[in-house]
Amino acid sequence: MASHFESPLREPLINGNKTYKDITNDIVRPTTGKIQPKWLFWTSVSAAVAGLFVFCITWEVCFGIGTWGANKTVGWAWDITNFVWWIGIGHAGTLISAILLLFRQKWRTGVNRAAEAMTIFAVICAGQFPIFHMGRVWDAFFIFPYPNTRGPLWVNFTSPLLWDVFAISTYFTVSLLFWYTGLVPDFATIRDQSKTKGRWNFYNFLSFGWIGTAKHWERWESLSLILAGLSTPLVLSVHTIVSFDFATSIVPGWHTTIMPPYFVAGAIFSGFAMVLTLMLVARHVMDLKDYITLAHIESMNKVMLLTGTMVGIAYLTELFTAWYSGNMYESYAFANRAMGPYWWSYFGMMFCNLVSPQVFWFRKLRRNIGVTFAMSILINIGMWFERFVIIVTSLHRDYLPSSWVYYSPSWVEIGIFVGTIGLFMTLFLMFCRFFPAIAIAEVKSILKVSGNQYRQGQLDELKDQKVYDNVSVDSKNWD
Amino acid sequence: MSNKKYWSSLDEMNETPTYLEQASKEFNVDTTAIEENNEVEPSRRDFLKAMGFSVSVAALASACKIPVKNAIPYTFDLRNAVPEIVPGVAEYFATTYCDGSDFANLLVKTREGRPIKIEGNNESPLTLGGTNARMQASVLSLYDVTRLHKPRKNNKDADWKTIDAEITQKLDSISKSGGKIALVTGSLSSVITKKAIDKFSAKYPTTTVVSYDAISQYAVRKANQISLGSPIIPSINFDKADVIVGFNTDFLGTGISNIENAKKYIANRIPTKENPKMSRHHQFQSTMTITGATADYRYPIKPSEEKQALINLLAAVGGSISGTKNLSGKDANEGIAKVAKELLSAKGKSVVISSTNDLQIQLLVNAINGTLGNYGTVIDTANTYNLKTGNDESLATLANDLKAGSYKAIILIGTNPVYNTAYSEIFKNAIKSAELSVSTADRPDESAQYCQYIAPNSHYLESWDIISPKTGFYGFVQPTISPLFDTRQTAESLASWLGDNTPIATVVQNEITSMTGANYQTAVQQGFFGNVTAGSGASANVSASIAGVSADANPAKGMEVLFYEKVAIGDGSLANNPFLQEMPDPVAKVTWDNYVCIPYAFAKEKGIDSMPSDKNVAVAKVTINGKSLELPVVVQFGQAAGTLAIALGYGREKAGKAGDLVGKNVYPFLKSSNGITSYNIDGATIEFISKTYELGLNQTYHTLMEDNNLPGRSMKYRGEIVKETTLADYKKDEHAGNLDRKEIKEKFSHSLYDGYKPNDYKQGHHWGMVVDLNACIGCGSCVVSCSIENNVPVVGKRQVYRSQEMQWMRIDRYYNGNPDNPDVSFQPMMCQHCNNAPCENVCPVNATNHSSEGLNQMAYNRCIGTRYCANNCPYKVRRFNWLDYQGADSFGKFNDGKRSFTDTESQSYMFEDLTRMVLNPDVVTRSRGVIEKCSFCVQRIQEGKLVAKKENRTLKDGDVKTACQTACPTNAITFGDQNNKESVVAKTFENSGRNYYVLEEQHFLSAVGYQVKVRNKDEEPAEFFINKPNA
Repeated sequence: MASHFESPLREPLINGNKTYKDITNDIVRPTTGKIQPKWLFWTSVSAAVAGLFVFCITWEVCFGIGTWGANKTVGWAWDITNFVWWIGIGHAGTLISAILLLFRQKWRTGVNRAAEAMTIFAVICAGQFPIFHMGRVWDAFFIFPYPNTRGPLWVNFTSPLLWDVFAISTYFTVSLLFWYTGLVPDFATIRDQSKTKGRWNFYNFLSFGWIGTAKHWERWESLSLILAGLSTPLVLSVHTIVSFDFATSIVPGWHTTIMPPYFVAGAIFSGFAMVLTLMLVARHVMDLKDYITLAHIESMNKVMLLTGTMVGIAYLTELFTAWYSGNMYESYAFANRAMGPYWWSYFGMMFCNLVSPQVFWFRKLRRNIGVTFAMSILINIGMWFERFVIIVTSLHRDYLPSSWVYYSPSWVEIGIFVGTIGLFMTLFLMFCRFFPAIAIAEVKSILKVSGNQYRQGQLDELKDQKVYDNVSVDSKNWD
Repeated sequence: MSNKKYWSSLDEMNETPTYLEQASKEFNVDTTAIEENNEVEPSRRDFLKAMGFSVSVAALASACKIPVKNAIPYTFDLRNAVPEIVPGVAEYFATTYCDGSDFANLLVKTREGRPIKIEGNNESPLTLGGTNARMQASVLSLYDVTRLHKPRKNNKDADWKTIDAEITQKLDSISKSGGKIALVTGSLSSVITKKAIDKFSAKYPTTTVVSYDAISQYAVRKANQISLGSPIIPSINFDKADVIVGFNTDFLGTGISNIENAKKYIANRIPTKENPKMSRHHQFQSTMTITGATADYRYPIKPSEEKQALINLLAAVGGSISGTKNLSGKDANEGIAKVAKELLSAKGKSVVISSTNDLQIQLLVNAINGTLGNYGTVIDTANTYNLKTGNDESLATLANDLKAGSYKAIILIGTNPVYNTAYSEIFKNAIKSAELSVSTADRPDESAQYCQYIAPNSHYLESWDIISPKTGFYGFVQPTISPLFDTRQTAESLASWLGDNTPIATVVQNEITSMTGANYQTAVQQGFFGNVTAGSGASANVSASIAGVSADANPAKGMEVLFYEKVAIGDGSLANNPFLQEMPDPVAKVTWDNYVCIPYAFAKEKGIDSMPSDKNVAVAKVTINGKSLELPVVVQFGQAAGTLAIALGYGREKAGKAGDLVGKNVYPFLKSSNGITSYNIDGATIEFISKTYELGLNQTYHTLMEDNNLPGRSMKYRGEIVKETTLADYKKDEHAGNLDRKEIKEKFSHSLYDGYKPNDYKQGHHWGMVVDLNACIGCGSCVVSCSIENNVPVVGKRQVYRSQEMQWMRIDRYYNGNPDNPDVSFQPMMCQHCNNAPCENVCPVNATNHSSEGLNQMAYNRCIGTRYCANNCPYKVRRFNWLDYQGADSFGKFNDGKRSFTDTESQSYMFEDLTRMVLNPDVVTRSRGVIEKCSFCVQRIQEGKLVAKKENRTLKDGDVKTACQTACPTNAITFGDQNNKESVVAKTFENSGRNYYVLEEQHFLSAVGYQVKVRNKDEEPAEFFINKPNA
């Protein structure tokens, strides 16, 4: 990546006077060496929880969806709630790697790799739900428009669920390619550090025999740019299409045109929250404080403040529209959300998503690790509640009061959801162990611009030149 | 042509052998490899071919292991052997259902020799074609695997020869020694059984025949003995009554011959534009029944006040009786005054009825009717019922005698006194200690289990019989299948113990031939014979009736409990029929349970009107006379203050898989007053205990509670789901109650897209349905009929609790007005077959789509079960196969309930091979994981079309009738072709001012038109709202 001018007043993005070699060593270190007992412990726990997922899914497939609490009125419940939640979480990765790349947000380099990995794992988790919520999962392939001898019988192109299939599979494919493309030079770096033949071969295979020639770099850069261009619309389209599942239906509370922007903002919101949750842990455990700095955290908190408030405005707009429409079903649906039997989920959503992120108006709190971590958890919970509110509280009381029910989940549904968290964590921990968790090549590309020793040098230079007379050019401002 | 010989080589010219050989081949190459494969190495292509073949064979052989089910094809030439049976064509037999209270002439549909569906017999002059839920479900009882397969001796399988010989021998010895024989029967409506019993009594003169009904109407007979001089139950011509006043009677739901009465009742309840007239129905009752729900005015009274209310009424209509006293309820007092006024203005055209089994009440009823001159017009004492012939006094006497040990033999003819009487212990001990005890129960039930011998009776669909529901009218019972098990009809058993082995068919035939005016052939064809000509008969002797009324010795105190009969389960004899267990109670909407009904005000006072979830209800300990039992609590709106109600017929212990331990048995609480069984009792206490109970509730009712009243919400809303008006308004404007429809039609019929023209299905057929809310009495017959016709599975209580029930059709119940005494509306709800169906465009795989005839159809094989359609259905009529209910799973039987660890997930009722015989072969069973819903009985449409095609004609209106339509006892449902301008449906849609569509303003273009409910009220009804009490 070509470096460009950046104001020396900006906070450095790499701390600790790192050299290129330091960067390589710091980031490759966790992938070499002995397996830490801590890692082994947490991976085992996660894998056990992922095992719960396998067990509950097997139970459900063997006996039927009747093992869930979903019912004649609430056809979708935890399944699609979890699906939308995971898909939303997956949004941060692409946003960081694609949109922020196009916006030349250099701070993304520290977090983009892990965020992209998270995207992929989250989409894997999300993908389980549309598949296993099907009554006849063994016929799931009917959903693909494949040529067949039954007429041919095609899928229903007017169904938003079909659009989902295309949106999510495209999103997954592009995200995977983008992520892997970024990994190629870093795999070569790990390969070059390998001490055993087997390791060398393994990483050489993964890096497609990368040798870092100018031609390689040129092609790599163009591919990255193309993929960034491809993924940018996807960030907006995927959750827009997911929101169509609801927006195009006739269920009061679903049938609203505000859904697409509201869903996209919510997705980015929850995605950043999840990135923060993971990065704060990784930063601590893997000792990457110099690469994931307070500057990164503050930037992400700002994005969360923005998207959280956008989501909050959407909540209030919905209420207004429901009242203003004069449609009795619509207005009831929203009144029921706030004051009906599921009031607690609405309250949870409002508190976690709209009220609590307002603490980020304060710089002190934005740069406080503890507050940030707590907020990231709160927002993850709040965004889960949001999907639950939209799906379950809209469905459970719709047009005919005769069919109104109260839904509660069964152990199988809870097990599947908890299980996907285990699956996600297992994948993420494996990623941290075997893959470079931070994009080595990309971080190196900003070292000369945003490394603290260089930034300090620039500042000193400026001080001498007396360019900024009235500005205190003191690096203390950064903290 | 020249003879020159051209050659190209020397070999050719000389025609050498080598050349000739080569020339004979088409290709001048070495083809040995091709011709003699075994001699050369296989080529690459051969290898690929071989590999491809073996891989695909291996894949085929190993991958798809589908269980092989053997079946014998029904294709060989049966027509010589059994010419009646054409494979694939249904055969109908006329027969009759009678359980001693319910009666109907039926047509039984059989396919390939097995009965699969019950239809009403439209030719019947008595029941005119209707059925009720019990009759619809009775076909499943035929295939009940709990039924005994063989006669039994000491609870071990035996054979008829042995037990016949032993029983005869014991009877002879008991009779010789002068030992008394008790023969306990239910209502004796069967001519054949009655004769067999008479013969039995003649041979064994020490026999005492005791006939009793678990739910008795003996007081009516006894009162008529006093008032009319004979113990009869008269016919009531509801169609001739302008004013109907009911006191704790459920003549539409559970009363005697309720189909006949529902037909008559509804005949005068449907106002039309031309003839806007309907009867006025007042109902005084303690709990809410469908009869009360259908009434125009309803007044809650305590059971103990019924007599006082009748005394007041009698006095008010001019009867000479003293002792009038105000009732506790203000409404009831005003009601009596209003009713009296109306009765007086409709003298001779009104009727007062009560089903309370109390002599004095019945005498008062007779006195009132006599005073009003209703006998001879509305009350027909010439046509009397042979149903409910039980005699409570003889039962009480028998119990006393049994206690004293004076009987040596007890023969139970289809009765179960250990279960369904208050003399349970006495019967149990007597049976155990008797020298001879025999039961003809079809299963080892509570009583039969103690009997030495069980001579299992056949199911009525396997039987020959003559039923006389009314004097002079006979229903013919003929078998529709030969007995599935080694069972024998009771009459046959009785005869064979007398040494008479005449086949029952001959007995029945001889009997009919010997009757005057009867023709056996006609009986077989029609299923009935005799007359139901309206008579008049004598009038009640008013003064004699009044003379029999005495003052109550002890005023009622404490909580009063009413023991009532539910529409589906009845007295409990059908408890093992899962269709009936799963049929929701029409008012309470509870399945699979009995419960204690408490008044709303009481629930509010006790703070149990709000529960953590709608289906987790409070549990109460009800104590009556020192005995107590724990029951779930259901808030029954309209229940009289100070009363409780508990259904009889539950708590079976030996009914079978579906019926056992469902609910609690309250028969032991019944008490006898002056020898007459009383179905209410006072001095009860109720105590709420800190438990909750998972109730199989089909429609939640807690939404009515104030805790769910969202603050600040307008009270008047959702009025367009159920529309209603008053008769007065309807007379002024036939669009009354439906005035918003014009606006809806104008406002909501526009499209945003100019030029977009949806299919209006104007070509060919366009199926539609009319549902008349005025005619619907909520009885649930259609629900069961639909389930049987369409192989809709029974899911069990646990699944209903989880709201995973499968019924395609439901009857929505809405309350309106004061929760202490609300108006109730029933609304049959099934797939509306919307022409702009929200479910269709959301299915990702096109599994649901619209037919060219306007049917919203399901391709089960295409469905992958995303349930998106169900979410997007505004009527919530789509049903998902949550589990495998019928063994239709492609994975094998996970849900057959045989694995103990899956008990929490499933209870299977349709896994037995025998039970599955009831399935309709014209409708596929759906596998787990697919959506299903009402198809407008598409198989019947197809059949109708094929018949018309074969007869080379177009379909006529009425050629195709849906299962719900044919089952309805009040003709509330009419199906037909909207494009046939002569059809009832088209005419109603076009002309009826009462016609509206549910949620019409949402532009789903539903194909089911509902008719506004008209209540015959004087004043405007309370502001209409659903699930909202008056604040």
